[in-house]
Parts: sequence; structure tokens; C-alpha cells
Amino acid sequence: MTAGTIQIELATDRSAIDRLMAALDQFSEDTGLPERAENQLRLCLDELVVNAISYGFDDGMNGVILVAVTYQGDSLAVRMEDNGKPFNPFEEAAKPDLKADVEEREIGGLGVLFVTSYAKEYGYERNGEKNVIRLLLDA
Amino acid sequence: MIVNSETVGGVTVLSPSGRIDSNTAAVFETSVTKALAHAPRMILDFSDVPYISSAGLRVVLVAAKKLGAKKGGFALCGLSESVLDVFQLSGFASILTIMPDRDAALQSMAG
Repeated sequence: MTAGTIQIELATDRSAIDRLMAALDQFSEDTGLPERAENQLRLCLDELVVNAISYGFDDGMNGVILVAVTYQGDSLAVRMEDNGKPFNPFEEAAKPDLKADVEEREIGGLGVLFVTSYAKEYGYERNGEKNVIRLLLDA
Repeated sequence: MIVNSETVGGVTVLSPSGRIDSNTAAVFETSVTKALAHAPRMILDFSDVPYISSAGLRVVLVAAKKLGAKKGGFALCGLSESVLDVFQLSGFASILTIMPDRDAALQSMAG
């Protein structure tokens, strides 16, 4: 079993997801994170970063997202912070209708559903001028 | 993200290769939209897709709505365990035709 920490700083522009993915590739390689945990971590952060950029920042706002992941024992602890407008994805994201058939089905809210499904614990707080999200995932 | 396209017995088979994340979903969408313009039936072969996000699922949903998911017009195959998990969590697994491999997907559309 290995352990490790990574800190990733992302600008709130089109480069964010590519940089996030590359950083997670490196982190997984360095720590030997199991593939299943890697995919779940990747999905949670992909969705949360996109949400933060979409809802938290007007065009031209100079946004920064800081992501920290600690892999220890059988858990992944994630902390994500951004300086956008107050946005609690767990309260404010759309709620998907999982029973709708193909014609009526809409896509909104799936990202947050994935996060709340995969995370053992999740939380949001507004800390001064920052949005802070914490997750605990199985490794 | 590279998307290979071929036609097998009147069915357009698209095989994306690589992760479909919030960024690369745009490349996937361009290929799917192009194919939808002329393809009456489509299979998405995900054998080389290790990861998909909600942005990728949105593109799958667009194709399913256009082609009619339960009328033999649209099927998926080759989903890894992780990718299938995402389809199940989203509820898509119960509204779409998901087959283990390409042959089975083609068979599901025959007749």
C-alpha cells in the first residue's frame, strides 16, 4: 500500500480539465492508486471543476481552483477550493429524473449525482471568499 | 481522442479511443453529430474508452434521442466495468441497449 499527496492549481479556463487529467495521471502512477479508485476520483473532480467554472465565474473573472488529494490507507481525501461566487453544488445543482425514458431524459445534475454516489462523505462550506468542497472516497 | 468510423451491414459503428472527459467530449460530439446526419442506425463501441463523464453521456443521450433507443436503431457495446458503472448510476443502462461486444450489438439490430 502506498500513500501520497498532490496539489493542483487550475485556472478557470479551457486548460483546466486537461491539466487536471494530466496531474491525476501522474498521481496515479506515482502512488499506484487502484484503477477503480482512480476512475472515481477522476470523475468526481472532472464534474466538480466543470461545475465550479460554469456557475462560479462570470466570463473574464480571474478564477483559481486549488485541488488537494491525499491517498492514505484505504481512503482518498479531497479538498477543492475556488474563489468564485457562492455555489453549493450539493444544494443547487439540478436533480436528475432517473426514471425518465430516453425521450424525456435530461442531462442536468448527473455530475453531482456521481460525486454523491462515489463519495463516502461529502460537504460544502463557504469560507470567506472561497467555496470549499471536501470529499472522502474509497481507495 | 480519436473516433474511428466504419459501416457494417448498414450500421454505422463509431469507436472512440481514449477518455471522454469534459474537454474531449467535444471531439466525440463532433463525430457523433456528423454520423447522425446520415446514419439511420448506430453502434457506439466503447472497447477503447476507459472513462466517461456526464459530458460524454450527454452526447450518448443526443444520439439515443435521435435514433430511438428501443427500436433497434442504437446500441452500445464494449463498456468497461468503470464505464458501465457510470451508465448504471445515471439510469442510462435501463433505457439504452447495452451489449457485451460488437457482434452482439450488430445482432441486436438485425431484422
